[in-house]
Amino acid sequence: MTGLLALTALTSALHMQVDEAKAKVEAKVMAALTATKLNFTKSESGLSFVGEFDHLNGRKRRIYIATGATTLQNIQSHVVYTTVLVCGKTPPSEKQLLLTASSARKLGAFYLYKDKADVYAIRFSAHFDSALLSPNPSSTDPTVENLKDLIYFVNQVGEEASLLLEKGD
Amino acid sequence: MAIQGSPQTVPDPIGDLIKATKLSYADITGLYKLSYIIDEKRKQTIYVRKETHDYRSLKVNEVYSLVWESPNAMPADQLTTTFLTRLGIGGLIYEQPSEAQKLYRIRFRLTVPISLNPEAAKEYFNAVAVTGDALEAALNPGAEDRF
Repeated sequence: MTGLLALTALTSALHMQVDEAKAKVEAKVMAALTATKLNFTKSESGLSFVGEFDHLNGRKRRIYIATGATTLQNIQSHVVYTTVLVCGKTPPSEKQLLLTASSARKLGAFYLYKDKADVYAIRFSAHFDSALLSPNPSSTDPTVENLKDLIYFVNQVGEEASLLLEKGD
Repeated sequence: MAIQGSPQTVPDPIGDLIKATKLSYADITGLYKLSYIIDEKRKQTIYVRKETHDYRSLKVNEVYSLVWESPNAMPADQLTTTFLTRLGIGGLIYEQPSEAQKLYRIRFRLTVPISLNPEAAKEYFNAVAVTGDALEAALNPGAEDRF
C-alpha cells in the first residue's frame, strides 16, 4: 500500500513537472506572438492560438498555432496550420490530392485531416521551433520576425491553394 | 586579358554549416548527402539542398529523406491514408515522375533555418533521419530497408 501511495505521489509529481513544462512553452509562444503584434487569442479547446487574416472579396483566413510542442531532443516543434479546403465526409478527389500533395513550397507541406465527425479537410502547415525563441522577445527580435513571417507564409500559401481548389475541375 | 588573383568562392552557407557539424557527408549535384545508422538493422540517408529559400526574414534549406518509391503511382486510397499521417515535425511531398527522375516517390522533409548553430543543425538532421526511417518502415511494411 505504501509502495502504491509512493508510486501515485511520484506519478502526480511527474504530471506536475510535465504540466509546468507545457505551461512554460505555451507562455513562451504567447510572448513571441504578442511581440509580433499580430492578434492571436487562445482557441476554445486551448490547444491552439488562433489569428484571423483578411483577404480580397471579404475572405477571411484563420491560422492556428499549436500551444503544445512535439519534442525531439532539444527541438520544440509547433505546427502552424490553416484549413485550405473542407471536403466533407468523402476524401478529397484524386486531382485535389495530387494538386496539394505534390506541391513543394519553399517550406511547409499540405496534409489531410479527418475530424471526429469523419469530415475530411486539406490543410497547409509549417512548423517552428519554440526552443529558438528568445526568452524575452521584442518586435525587432529576429526570432519574432521569423515567427511572424512564417505565419504570413502559411496564410499566403493557404489562401492561394484555397482559391485554386475552390475553382474546381 | 587574363584575370589575375585567386578564384572567387561561391558562398555556401549550408555547406559551411554542415562542415561545422563535423558530420561525414558527400557533395553531390545540388545536394549534400549524409548517412545515418538508425540501429543494427536499419540505416537512413538524408539530403540537404544547397539552395537556400527565402521569404521575408526566413532563410531555410530543405532537408529530406526518401520514404517510398515505386515505378507505379500510389493508389488514391493509400495516398489519402499516407497524407492523413499526423507529423509533429516536417511534412510529406509526393513526387511524380519528371525529366529529372522517373519514379513516383514520397519524401519526408523539413526546412532548417540557415541561422542554426551546428549542434542544433545536427538535431534537425537526426530528426529527418529518424522520422524518415520510421515513415519508410510504416509505408513499406515487410519490405527491406532501402533508403
